Parts: sequence; structure tokens; C-alpha cells
Amino acid sequence: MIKKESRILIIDDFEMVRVSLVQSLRKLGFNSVDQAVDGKNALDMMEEAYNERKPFGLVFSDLNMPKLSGLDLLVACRHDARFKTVPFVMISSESERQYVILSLQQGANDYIIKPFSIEVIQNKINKICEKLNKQANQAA
Amino acid sequence: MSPSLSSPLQLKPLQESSLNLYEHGVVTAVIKSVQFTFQSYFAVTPVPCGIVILNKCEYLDKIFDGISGLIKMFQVTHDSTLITSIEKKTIFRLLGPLYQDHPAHDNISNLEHSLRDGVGELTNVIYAYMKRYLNEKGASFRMGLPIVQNTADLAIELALPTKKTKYFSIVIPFELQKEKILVELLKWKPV
Repeated sequence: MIKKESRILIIDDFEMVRVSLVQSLRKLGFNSVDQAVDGKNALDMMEEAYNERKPFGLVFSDLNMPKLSGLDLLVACRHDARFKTVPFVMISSESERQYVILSLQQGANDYIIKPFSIEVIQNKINKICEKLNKQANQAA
Repeated sequence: MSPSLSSPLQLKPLQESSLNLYEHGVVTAVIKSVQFTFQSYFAVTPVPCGIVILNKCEYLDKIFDGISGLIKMFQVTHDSTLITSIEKKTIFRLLGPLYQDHPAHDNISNLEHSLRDGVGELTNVIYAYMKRYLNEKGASFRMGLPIVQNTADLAIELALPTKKTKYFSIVIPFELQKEKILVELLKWKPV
């Protein structure tokens, strides 16, 4: 479940996107937001957060980045028991179907096309929460 | 004869240009992409002033205190480069509000890194939108990563006489609240 106090990780090689997303999330009431500049940096931060028992509860990652792409990071997360279920939203300026489908097939919970508005962020978070609730209810 | 460094650009309306059908389509896509991107990020709409076709990049000298984002437009038959050049004062005015929390957000030089980053991201989004538009019409442009340079450095680099390739460029100047944004499609021609 994503709560207002959940830790959120934003990964994008462009500062402008990170700053803009941090501001949107703060406006939505999420104040515990960290930033990584690429997938490798993100993986290190996720491991550190997990070891400190303060894991990230939601990840927003750019698709196209140097070092380790968003897709490679997603695959790494889905093959790691520690991060297998962390909600993962891919963000990208790439809006062609192939990138959206590939991301969802690899386990992304959703896909956001840049540029995006605060309403889009809110809708995506709501959608993920609804889905997680449904899954939790089914499992109970 | 190429235009002199101090003369204004000899702009022509797109309809009266000598562009072929393919180039016309790409320019139309660039205009749509630039307007969409600026509208989405800053709620402003740059107005295209026409186009100019050059064999050299001398025009870049006109915004010597600018930042340029470059992205390779890879396609099977048409490899070219998309360049977005914006004056520092313009990008500072547009991006400044985003960095209100920055300790020295009121100074261009303190935000230099962020401004360069912003031009890179704008170039990235302009290309992505343009790519989708053209790919839907049958083109096959591939994903690219932008790089960022000072416009003055880029102008010098492109003007170097030792360059082993030739190129021509289609320049599309946009006006945004009396300031200029230059978008260029640079086509390399092997010598």
C-alpha cells in the first residue's frame, strides 16, 4: 500500500524532471522523496534503504538513461526477492506502443509519458493503490 | 553566398521554401513538437517565424550566450541531428520558477548546470514527440540520448575548416515573448 509517509524514489538523468516530479509529489502530500541519476545509482540506494529497514514504497524511473536503463533496473528489481513487489512506474518521453508494452511485460505497474501533469501522477498513484488493495483483498 | 554573421536571417515561409516532401514533413513535425513541448512544460507557445536553409551554422553566432541540445536522429536512410538552441536568459526565465528552493535561484551562473540540463530534456522531449509523429507516418527514427553544449562552442566546432564532412541545415527560428529559440535540422553529407 502506498501511504503519504511512504518513501518514494525518483530516477532520471535529467534534473529538471526530478525536481518537477519532487514538487508534484510534495503537493500531493508525499514528503519522503529521494532522487537517483541513473539505474545503477538507484539500485545502490534501494539496497541501502532495504538494509536500513526503510525500503522504498514506490519507484518512478525514466526509461532511457546512461549506465543502467530504466528497463534494466526494472528487470533487476523483478528478479530480486527484496524488490520484486515494489510498485514501479516507468516514465519516458517515448510514447510508442512498443516501449509501453515492453515495460508492462517486464513488470512495471504503469507507464507515464513526459511531459506529465500533477493530475496524471495522482491518477497513476490512485490506480496502483486500487490494484494493490484488490490483490490484498483477494489474497485475504 | 552564405549570410554574413551580422545580417538577419533571410526567412521564408514554409510554403514558399524549396524543401522536398520529406523535409517539409520533418519541419512540420518539428514545429508541432516544439509547440507541444513548451506548452506542456511552461504553458507558452513559441511562434515559428519561417525557415532558412544554410550550408553553414553561422546563424548560431547570433545567440552566442546560449545553450544547445543535440540529438542524433537515427534512421535507415536519413541520419541527421536535431539541435535546439536557447539563450541562457530565456531558459533561465522559463526554468527559474522550478528552482525556487535552490539557494541561489536568482542568478543565471549559479543555475548553469540546471539550465543546461533543462535544454537537454527539452531537446529529448521535442525529439521524442517528433519521432512518434513521423514514425506513425511510416518513418523509422530510433531512440537517442541528447548531449548539451554551449552554443558558442558548437558554432566554432561546426565552422572548423578541418571538418571532414559537409552539411546543410534547415533552421527554424521561433519567437517566444520577443526572445528567439532556434531549432535546426542538420543533415550530414559525406565528402
